[in-house]
Amino acid sequence: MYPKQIATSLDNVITIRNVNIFLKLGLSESVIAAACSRVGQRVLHVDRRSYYAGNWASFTFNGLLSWIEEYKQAGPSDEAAQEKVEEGEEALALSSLDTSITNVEVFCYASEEPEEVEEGVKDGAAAAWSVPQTPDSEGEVERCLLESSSVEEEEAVLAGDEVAQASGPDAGAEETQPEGEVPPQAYETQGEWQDEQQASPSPAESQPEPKKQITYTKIVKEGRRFNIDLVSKLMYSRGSLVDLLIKSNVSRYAEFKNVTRILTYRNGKVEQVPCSRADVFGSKQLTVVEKRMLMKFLTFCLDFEQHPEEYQDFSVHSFWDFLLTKKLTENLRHFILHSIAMVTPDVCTVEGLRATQHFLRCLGRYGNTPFLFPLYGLGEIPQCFCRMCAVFGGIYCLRQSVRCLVLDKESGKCKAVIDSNGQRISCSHFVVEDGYIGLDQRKNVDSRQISRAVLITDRSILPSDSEQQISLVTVPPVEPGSPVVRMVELCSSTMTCMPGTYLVHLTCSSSGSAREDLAPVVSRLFCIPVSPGEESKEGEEGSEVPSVLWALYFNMRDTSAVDRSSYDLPSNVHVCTSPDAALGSDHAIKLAEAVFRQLLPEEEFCPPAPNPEDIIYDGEGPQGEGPGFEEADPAEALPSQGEVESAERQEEAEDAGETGDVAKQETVAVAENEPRPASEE
Amino acid sequence: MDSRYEIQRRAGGGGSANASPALGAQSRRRKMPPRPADYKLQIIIIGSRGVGKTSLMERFTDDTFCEACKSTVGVDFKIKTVELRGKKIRLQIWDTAGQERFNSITSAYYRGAKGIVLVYDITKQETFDDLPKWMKMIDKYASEEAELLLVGNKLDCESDRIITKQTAERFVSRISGMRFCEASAKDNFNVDECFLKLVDDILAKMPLEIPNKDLSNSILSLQPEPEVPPELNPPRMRCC
Repeated sequence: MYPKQIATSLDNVITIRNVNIFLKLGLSESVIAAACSRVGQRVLHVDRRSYYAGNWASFTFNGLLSWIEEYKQAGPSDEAAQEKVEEGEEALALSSLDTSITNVEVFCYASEEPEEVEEGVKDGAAAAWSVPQTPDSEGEVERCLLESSSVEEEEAVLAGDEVAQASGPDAGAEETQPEGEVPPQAYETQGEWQDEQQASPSPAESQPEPKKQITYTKIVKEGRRFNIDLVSKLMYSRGSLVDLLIKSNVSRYAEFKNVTRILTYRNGKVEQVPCSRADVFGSKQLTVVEKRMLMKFLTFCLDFEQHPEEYQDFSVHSFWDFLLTKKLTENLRHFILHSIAMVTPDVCTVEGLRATQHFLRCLGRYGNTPFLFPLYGLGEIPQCFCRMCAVFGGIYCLRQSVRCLVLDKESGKCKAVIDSNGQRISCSHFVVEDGYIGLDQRKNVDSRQISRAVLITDRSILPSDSEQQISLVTVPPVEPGSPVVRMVELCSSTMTCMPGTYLVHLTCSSSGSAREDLAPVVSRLFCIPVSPGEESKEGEEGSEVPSVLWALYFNMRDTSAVDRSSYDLPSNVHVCTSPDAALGSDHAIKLAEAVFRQLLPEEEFCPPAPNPEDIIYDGEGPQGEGPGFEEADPAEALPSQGEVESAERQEEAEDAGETGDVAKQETVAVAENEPRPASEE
Repeated sequence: MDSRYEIQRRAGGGGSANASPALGAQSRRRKMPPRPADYKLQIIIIGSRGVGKTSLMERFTDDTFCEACKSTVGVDFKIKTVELRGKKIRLQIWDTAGQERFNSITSAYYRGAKGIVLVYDITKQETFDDLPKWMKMIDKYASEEAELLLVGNKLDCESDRIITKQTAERFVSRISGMRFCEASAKDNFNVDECFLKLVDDILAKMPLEIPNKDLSNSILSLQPEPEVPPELNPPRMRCC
């Protein structure tokens, strides 16, 4: 869309008073925007980027390459604000330079040999209906999307692609079908990408192939299968984010998978952490005595407040000291501290107990671990809230930004903003992410850094029966003084990486650059090929250590601990922080709620969105009440078989009403047809 | 547990909206439990602003048309159940929520869609010129298995037609498996046929049974919570 068109369209917005304007599409901002829109506020939500979710975003592989390029280059310096303001007003410039990401380093270890011809045949049909997936054109297109300095350029690329499409492999005349027929070719490739094996259609090549080496070209070609998050977090099944998603019904916009196992790195090996009761009793790493000790301790933790006598004496001591007094082996203390509570040894006893309790209470709500992960990555979640905001009238504008705020000299408050096209928009509140705030206003802001690494690997760090495991790995400090490293290994069915690969995220609090902080862990757990395409080495027990195909390191600024008063800003300008280093998203959600309460103290925060059928009155009235199940603690009352059956009958009855039920097909399959597996023995 | 979060536990059910105090809920009793849907399919509609996406959807789901309605607010998705090939299919048809206005549809919108309806206005050249841009988005974010349907809307304005049928057919011919229809949401011409053809295409490719996904970790929705097997909930330890 031409900049001129955007300006004209935004004209309509300018005349509206009492707009809330949001800058940046991160998680907190998106939640607040949705909450405001939901209760009838006018919301304008913009971001200078061409993508959603800001620093919470996820990218295809090629999208990530563009992102890397952008941050590697030195950006333009802050322009002096020469804004036209009226009498009684003053301008407050915002930063046009994003300095939240530093120390970006990329390492490619995969073989850079070109792909073999046979692959092209398989992708023929897919390529035919889309822009050809050659590395060049994809990369070119991505770069055009990122900075819309020249929209005409983008149009030219599109036109060029359309021409190329016609002459691409397998495309064109062969695929012309009269209306009413489905090209048979399409059938063959359906669902194939799900297979781990790269089976090709021609019979001569259909013998089972050994695991093929994954080349860089292949990664780029399959780049759209990757959804690489800048932030690495998981969702606690009873955490603020899950609760909010359920409460607001925003959960309907996304799907999720269970994190299937919790691992730790200990004594040079990757080991499974037993956390559920079944895990504990099935564990081969714990002795019988240890099992009993662990069960006893965890049972205590679950309701620790009921037994103050057990920990009161240690209220001023550290959680680690407290653990030392409990009947636990060193092994168990390690598990509890690093993999269950996931706190540093120096936190106070109560905090450690609370963290342990939270972990345990989240077990079993959806699966065998406390955690969920969104399909397609964390970058989906801010987008889900943005959609809720849009459904209730919020206006979304990518590639658009605010140059400066217009302050009323007398009240000191922000009364309008000036956007990147020079247009002035009146507003009543302004919500901005830390990254946009100019240097002058954040003189006193003391921020930390998060070290991040993203790896594409060729196999799991802990082989098991299933290749589709999602694992949380805690790596205690490899050297004294170095930080705990948290790792998440994602399989391809999370839709974040191509089949045959794993996407591994590492996170820790920064001491130095991300590479300095994380490369030691990477080299301990993975094989880093000396020459491109080198095969992975044999581990101690004959199991193969995963090879790193590609690695990205970067630091991200963490302003989550910053107090609002550190910013020198008007009272109706609210600041959201960058992502924090914690595993869950509690901070971002709690912040969102706090800001909302400041904006609209009388309103409810994200009440359940009405069922779509209830928004438009169709004459028959809204859907009747459900079977009336309260949400019960799963451990307290498992539904009897009779209850389950009557619930299913009720669902059938409501199905006939054609309203209310928005469950997706896969969910129904899960609930009705597929038995849950027995827990890992 | 907060009573506001009345979460339904029945399998496959959803919508805690029924407990929302803002809406009066009416009971509805059924005598005979009818057959549940065999399939639940998600369909999204995309296209430039003002081509008639919401109108097409509402004509299909509610058989209504609103001339005065300019831009879409408050429409999330609509449900319609159809019978095709002897199967009962519940369609969940999503609207863009107006995010196309400034070229800002989320990538998340494309996920999970089994069918994609791409709409242009036969009387407006720029809406047709925008089609490659939409194809790029589909290519980037949508499932490769998604069925595509191109709809030239506003057939009632034949006298103002700019895009010929041949032009559109030529466009579609370069895209494997994409269907093309012209329709009028206003006059209710060919709307049902277009959607049903799309659904039929989707069905034609669906396996007869639900595909055997990796059983150890299936896809979840947060509502409702799936059943937890008994061995994970021993009476002594409350939550694991």
